[in-house]
Amino acid sequence: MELTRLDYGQLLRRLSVPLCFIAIIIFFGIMAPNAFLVPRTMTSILASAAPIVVLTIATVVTLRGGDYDLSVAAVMTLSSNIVGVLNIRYGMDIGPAIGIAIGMAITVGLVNAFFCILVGIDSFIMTLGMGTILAGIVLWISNSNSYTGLSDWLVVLITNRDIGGLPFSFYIAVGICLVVWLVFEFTPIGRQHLFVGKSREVSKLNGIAVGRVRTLSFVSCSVLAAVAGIMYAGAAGGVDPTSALTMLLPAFAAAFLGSTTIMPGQFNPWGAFLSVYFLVTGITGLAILGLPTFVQSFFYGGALIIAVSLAQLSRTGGLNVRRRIWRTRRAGDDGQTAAGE
Amino acid sequence: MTSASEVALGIESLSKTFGNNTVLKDVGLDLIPGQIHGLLGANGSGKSTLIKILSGYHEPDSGAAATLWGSPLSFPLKPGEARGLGLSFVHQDKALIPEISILENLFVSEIASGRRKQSRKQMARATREVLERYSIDSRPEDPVSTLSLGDRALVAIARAVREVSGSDSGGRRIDSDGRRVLILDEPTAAMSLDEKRDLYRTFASLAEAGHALMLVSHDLDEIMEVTTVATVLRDGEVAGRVETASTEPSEIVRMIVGHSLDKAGPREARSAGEPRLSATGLSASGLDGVSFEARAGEIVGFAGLVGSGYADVNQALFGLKENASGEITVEGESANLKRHSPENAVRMGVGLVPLERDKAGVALELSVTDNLTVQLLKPRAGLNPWVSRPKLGAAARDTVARYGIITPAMNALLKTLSGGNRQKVLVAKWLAAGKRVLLLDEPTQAVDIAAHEDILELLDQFARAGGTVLIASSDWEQLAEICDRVLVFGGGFIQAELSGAEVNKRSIGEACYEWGSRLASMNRPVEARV
Repeated sequence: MELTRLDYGQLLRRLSVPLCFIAIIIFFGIMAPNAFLVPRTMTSILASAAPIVVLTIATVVTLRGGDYDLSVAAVMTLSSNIVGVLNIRYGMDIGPAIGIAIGMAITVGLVNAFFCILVGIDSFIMTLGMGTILAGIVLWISNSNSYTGLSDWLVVLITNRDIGGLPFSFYIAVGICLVVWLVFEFTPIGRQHLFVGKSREVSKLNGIAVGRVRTLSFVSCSVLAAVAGIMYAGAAGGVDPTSALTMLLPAFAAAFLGSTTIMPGQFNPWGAFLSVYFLVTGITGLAILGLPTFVQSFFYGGALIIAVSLAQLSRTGGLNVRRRIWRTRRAGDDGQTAAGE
Repeated sequence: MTSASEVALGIESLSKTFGNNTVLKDVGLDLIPGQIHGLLGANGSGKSTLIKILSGYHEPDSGAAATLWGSPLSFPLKPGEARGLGLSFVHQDKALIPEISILENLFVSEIASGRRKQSRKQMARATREVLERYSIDSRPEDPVSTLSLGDRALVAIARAVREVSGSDSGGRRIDSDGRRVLILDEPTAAMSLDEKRDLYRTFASLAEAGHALMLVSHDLDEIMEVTTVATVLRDGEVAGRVETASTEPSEIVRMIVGHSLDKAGPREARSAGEPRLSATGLSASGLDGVSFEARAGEIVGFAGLVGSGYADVNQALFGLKENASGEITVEGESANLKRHSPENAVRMGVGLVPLERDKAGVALELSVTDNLTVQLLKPRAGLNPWVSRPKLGAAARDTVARYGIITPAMNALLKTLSGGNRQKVLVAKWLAAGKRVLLLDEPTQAVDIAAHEDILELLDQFARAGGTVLIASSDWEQLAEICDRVLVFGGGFIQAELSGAEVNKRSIGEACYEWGSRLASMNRPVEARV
């Protein structure tokens, strides 16, 4: 069968991030063949990005449901600090410590849902406030200290390379991605969740329990963020009160970039997955080439703006500078006439 | 006093065509200074198009000719140009910003443009004068939201008049005496009788001062009481011009509705089956104790004028009204409206095709398949949590073929479909999900003629297969074409029930106007029976 031009365009859009990914691998491979295309660098990328992948999937869950959750990075930080402080400082077993971290995440998700759905606050504002409170709790329970010496069991679980020589955290990230994808695409609640994200009003008039779906969305998001925190703690063998907070922007950048690829127009886990690895690979490559670390900020910030611009342009079908200017002028005319003279 | 021959706004000829659809055909009318001119017409008669052309929102077809105080108007008018020329519009809903003060509303254009000529003190004094003149018991700094509906209309009118008579008219082409043309678009909708009376007195005094007024209204009693002359539009043409003092209301209704008796009753008689749905004592905003029954295989229409309650019934039945009371029963299963919800309605086998299709009916950013199968997203029996995407896809393809939906592809986003096909998707979604009761609000508004016919055909088939359809519509011809019975609303009650040969456009229209006026709405309600 012959592909029409539309089909090629569609295919290109779906594969945009994978193609760019391949392009930068080739680029860095040529620029620094001995430092970049070696197993050590590759496995380090896979391992270091795994918690960010899970945090990004958490972000994708709420964004797909039409809400913002800006408290994810704080939930991640608090979860890793709960595990670290309880296990290292108070000697609690790692199992109960993880259980308490997950319990905290469920509570945070429910509180977010309560204020956003029943009180009706905009999720952007609510979770911004929640994130700030949680960051404060982290400083409180950790006394602003870092802790090392985390339970071996968790460290080994996260960092072992028993399967195919790849860090186990990578498999956890892939597994979470797979489960979230299956739920999104092949369960009633997942499909309803997509409808709620595209239009709450339409969903309500279809008899979908919008409040319940959004609550589930907030709680799943927080729980995934907590898992990301536990992975982060395990990978480092200890915890610190601030470093995970900086992952908020990378997670949103990757989530939005991911929404332009694989399934363009929808926040989707595989697009997010590839976007995280694309961004982390780019930064690792730049570091190998000797660029200073502040370039990271340009890379993540730029990726977020470009991703959102691409999504916007593909929706409206191109730049419309002329129309906008014209509209402004008309409005100006109106104001003038109304003012007299 | 003005001479009889002087014309404030003289419309010689205005026409407007959208695509192949002519909505205004060579309409002409004259507004005389000192006179209140009524404009009447059913929904779709071209009334709002006429007003939108005058306000500069629509561009008329070429050949448009009109004069303002004797000087020709050049169309299209730029937004705001009409106002600058002394042609002001008052619309109750859109006129004022409720959150800001009366003063700021009165001087909104000066304040917004930063070209204030007066100090705050002068503006406050001018505002106090306005409030005194119109006997509004408020202070200039009170927000408009604290005013009654009647007082808000007065403020809007005061602003319109002030705009025309203001000191800043230099260089503009308005009448030298400061007289203006005021177009009042349904200014009294939802007002109490006392508030209306106050407004009528204001209209009269404005006319006495030499302004020319046009009153657009559905309320026939209002037109009879307030206006001297009235123009009736029907199907985009002037159906007649009457001196209201010497005309019987029934004659005006006949002009509005037309004499068409062509269609009586549904296509081929359908046979109504078992009772399917009963509503008892529905009360909510706009409804005041409505009870009726509908059978399997029956299409029931709701008709009435704006604010009569006909448009609120489906909302209440679907659980969308706050503070509703009453009971709905579908095939033996009852729900109290106090605890009703769309979820509950859908579960009982009821589907709604809402008025705002693109906002509330279909998800424009999702695919045709997704939109058609959202009602089929039920967990399978037992513990199997998965939905079968291939099965959903097959069901959607089946629905598209069966109901003749035209789409570029099954995975095309819904926004790529025409309005008519979007509406078909919306209706077909419920039918494919096996709902037994379908509620529709203005189902064929903003769809083309072909899709219009298709949708009515779809509803007919659904009813023949034993479905129950409740349609709220202001298109009486459509109701006549498709309905077995039509319930006519007035004042929140069912006032009349038309069935058999009475289900024709003329009878429906006459009943709507008869029961839609305020005097009729004080009569006792009639309980509709099957």
